[in-house]
Amino acid sequence: MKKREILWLLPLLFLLARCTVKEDYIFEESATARIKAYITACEATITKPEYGWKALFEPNKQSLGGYNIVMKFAEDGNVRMVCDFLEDETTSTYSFNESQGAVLCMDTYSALHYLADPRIPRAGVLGVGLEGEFEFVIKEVTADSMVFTGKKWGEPVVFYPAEERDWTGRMAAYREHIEKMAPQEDSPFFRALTMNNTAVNIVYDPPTRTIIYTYSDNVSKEILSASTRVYGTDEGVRLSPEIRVNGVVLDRLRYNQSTRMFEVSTPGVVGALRYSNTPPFPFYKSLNMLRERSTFACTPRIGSLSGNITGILELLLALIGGHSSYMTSELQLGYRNLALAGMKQFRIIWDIDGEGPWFSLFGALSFAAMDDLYYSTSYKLNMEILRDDEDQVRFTWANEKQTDNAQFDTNMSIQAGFAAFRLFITDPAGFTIVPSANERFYLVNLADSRRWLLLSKE
Amino acid sequence: MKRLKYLLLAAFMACFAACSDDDDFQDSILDTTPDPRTPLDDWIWDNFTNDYNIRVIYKWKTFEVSPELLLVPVDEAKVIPFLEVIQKVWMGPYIQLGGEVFFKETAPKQIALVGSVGFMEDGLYLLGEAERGRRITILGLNTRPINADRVEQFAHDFHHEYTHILNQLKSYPTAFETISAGSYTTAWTQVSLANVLGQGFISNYAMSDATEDFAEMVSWFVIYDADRWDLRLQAAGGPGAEGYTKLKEKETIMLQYMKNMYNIDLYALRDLVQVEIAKVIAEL
Repeated sequence: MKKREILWLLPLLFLLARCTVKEDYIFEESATARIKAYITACEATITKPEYGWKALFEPNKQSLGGYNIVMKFAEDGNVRMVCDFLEDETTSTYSFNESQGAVLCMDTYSALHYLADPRIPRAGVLGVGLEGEFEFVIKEVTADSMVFTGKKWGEPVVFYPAEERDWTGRMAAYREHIEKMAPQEDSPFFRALTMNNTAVNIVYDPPTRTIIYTYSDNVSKEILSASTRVYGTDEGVRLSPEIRVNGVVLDRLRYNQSTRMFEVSTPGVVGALRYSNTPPFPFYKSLNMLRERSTFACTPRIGSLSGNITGILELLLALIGGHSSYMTSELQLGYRNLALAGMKQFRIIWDIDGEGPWFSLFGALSFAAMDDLYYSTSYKLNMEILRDDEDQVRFTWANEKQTDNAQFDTNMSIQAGFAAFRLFITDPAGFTIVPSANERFYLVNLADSRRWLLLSKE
Repeated sequence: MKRLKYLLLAAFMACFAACSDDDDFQDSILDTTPDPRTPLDDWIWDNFTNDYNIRVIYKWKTFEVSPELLLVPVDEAKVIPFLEVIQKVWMGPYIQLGGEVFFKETAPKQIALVGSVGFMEDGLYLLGEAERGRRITILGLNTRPINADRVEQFAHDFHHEYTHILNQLKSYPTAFETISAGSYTTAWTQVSLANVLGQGFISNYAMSDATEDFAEMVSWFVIYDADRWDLRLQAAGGPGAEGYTKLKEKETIMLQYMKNMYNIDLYALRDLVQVEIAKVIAEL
């Protein structure tokens, strides 16, 4: 009986065997052959334009500006690149491969890799880079454009045929204008962008090509901040999204070679971008903004300074200038000195036992300390509000202190960095409190705006 | 029963018959055309590939690197200077002591070079790794120009990774793992060097696990001269101290392993490596 059941299975086996060879293919060629043919067509297209291709990379439309590049692909596998973010032309190699479909890969280091390089610090953090791409999944190829998405971050990018002028001057002009947006060395802190009868104060961040601008609302007098992205143009720079303040809309600046100044080039708007030692407008009640909903304002915290490797890496970041965007150069040396002695954070504490503010240092007993116990030593300050707008203050020393560890207090007080911070905070000229984005505030010295400190609410 | 066998055989034959309609074999549809050789490729061929069957990967290949890390390829101009250092401080001494056959048998078949370091979420970054007894990856070459300090660092990185390769081909004695059993920790970055030495580890990274411990022992042993090695042991507390004792036990196992498994005298290797490091630094 059992044998007969098995015999019945045999015809079924024949049927299964027959099913494997009579498939009808939708395509005449295999997938591999088709993608190979597609890549061959891409190779022909990418090498065809006389002046190569140009592209505008916008790696992250929330937090990064635009980076222009022009590329000439040769049949020998080399690609030349000129861009608006590096001065020198680069030559590298490229190839096509199949991973997520057909992929164009710049396979040796080039200008494009600069944007993808994680070594570029962003907001004081290493390892993030500018979200650049050097592998591109091909989406569409025509004689007039090649459409890709970046393989790592997935942002779309389109290559268009370049013109001769892209190589002979356009990228250089873009770069020159973008570089002129960077704050000049030793320039005053305030950069007022006047727009008809209103003004904004801008802070430009060169690596990310972004602007944070602050303005006073005409009606409410409220101090507001917003950000925009910067793109190089033949004449100057373009801003996207446009700046919209008190009914005025601005999206372009033209660089005037004779006045060496950016001027507004948006039709119907008159204005210019100027450095200034004095604030362009009162930062109305910015002191209250700084104090509300927060016990203290502080420098970035150095996470784990206890003589271990993580601490050493963080200190290394501080030493190479990773925190340079948080304080004027005169404080940076003192900051490192205090960090080496165990400080993790400088703070202005608004209230201790109903009194304040306080000048406070927070940290461990030493850089090489084994423990994770954190101590603080705080010196009472007297604070004087300098005008009715409540945006300018002066601190003086009150000769009263509190500490939870005498050794930590001693360690801090003998440091040269302690004296540097103390002198800075108690400068008799006082400060303007300038709001920035993300609950950050600049303390800008009233006598010399080049002396400033950036604090975050925490 | 016999008839059933024949029927099964017939069914089996039918399966083959079903496969007989395949197309005739044609040329491969895969692109097997080799990339055009550059002077850099020629140099690599002459110095690494032809004699030692070592492929040096310096161009970006997606599947040759970790997809979790944000990396960029090495700057081509940095490839030969790095490989020349490796030739002198790693390849030369091992060939001189172990012979060509030993080296060809144990050398990694691939050396991958990456431009950026591998930044990781815990704030640390990856400088090198060894895989499957066949491949060593060195990272961060774009940001680590060769100078006097860096020659020693590169030598250490490469000897460390090569020790992994040797361990992957022939395991070290399990007795090594018992010396510090229970003291290995993922929080090795949170411990000071003094504490690490006091517990019998030659470096912070050695505390991460036994395989790294062994690789750190060998690599620091050959990078440090005798005086610096002894200074480290003294910093572990000196004779009689727990750290010193454990390090000496590990040293003994390490020396025996290299001698017994590969006929490499680590003292002699150290002398050769010291001479080569000094020569490279002098030529900078």
